[in-house]
Amino acid sequence: MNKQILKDRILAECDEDDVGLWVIIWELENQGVQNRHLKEETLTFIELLMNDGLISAGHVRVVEQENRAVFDHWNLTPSETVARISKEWDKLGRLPTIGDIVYFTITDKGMEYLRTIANDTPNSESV
Amino acid sequence: MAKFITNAGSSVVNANNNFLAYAKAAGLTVAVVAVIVLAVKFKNWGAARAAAGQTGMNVAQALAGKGGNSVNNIMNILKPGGSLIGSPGTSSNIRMMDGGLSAAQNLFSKLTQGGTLIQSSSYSGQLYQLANGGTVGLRTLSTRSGKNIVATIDVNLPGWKGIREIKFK
Repeated sequence: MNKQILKDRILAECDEDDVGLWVIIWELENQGVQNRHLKEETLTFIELLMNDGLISAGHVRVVEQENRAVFDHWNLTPSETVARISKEWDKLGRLPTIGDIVYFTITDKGMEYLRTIANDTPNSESV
Repeated sequence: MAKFITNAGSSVVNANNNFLAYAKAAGLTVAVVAVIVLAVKFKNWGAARAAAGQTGMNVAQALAGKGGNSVNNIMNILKPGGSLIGSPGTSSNIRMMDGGLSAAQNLFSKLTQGGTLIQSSSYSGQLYQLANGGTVGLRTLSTRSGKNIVATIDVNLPGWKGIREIKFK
């Protein structure tokens, strides 16, 4: 799987669900990225999607009284986001897993991108 | 641990001897059978070794599950009879299942048997550290709940890339 396919897959998943940092790591590992390159590859991939304005980073917060979840955006630039993830990853001292460090959600531009690639797909259904 | 290794070793030898006899009867050569047995063992050993590397336990402990679910048990739950449970979602490692929240809780309790509840996580649900080194979470809320999903089980088992999420309708 190349980075373009991974980008489309992660965005499609962000459109349906909150996507944790661990998911991107999991997918890169699944592509065969070696442990020693995982952090660099993960951060590069995140910065790419954020530079294009397709995803936003933050935390998922549960509002128990209302039985719903809200996304608390970090409101940082892509480079600030990557720097914060890198710092927290180092502090963690191991490979991030479920619930660790950061989650991602799709932006309006990300949804527009998904609509575009759906329309470009030859067998896509017309609306 | 020595006793565990001895017992595990003898049962493996017995199982292999039986398999060898059946395979010989089926016309397979000893070399072919040996390759098959080693391939299966290496796959599980690789998963256990990855789990051990992330948790500080040794490979034998990861294989055995250290009092909880072993790598083999988890695989048997998620891939019974060699086929992944459920149907594919947005990708083959995201599985869709029916049965609602009760089915999700039932599967979650099987997967987390012998695991430890992680209290300090910011995860938006229940999160367990498994005895084999993996992590499994159950959540019912998402900021983007689509397709009538009522619960999601997140699965991160080091060294095994079969299933990453199980979504329940």
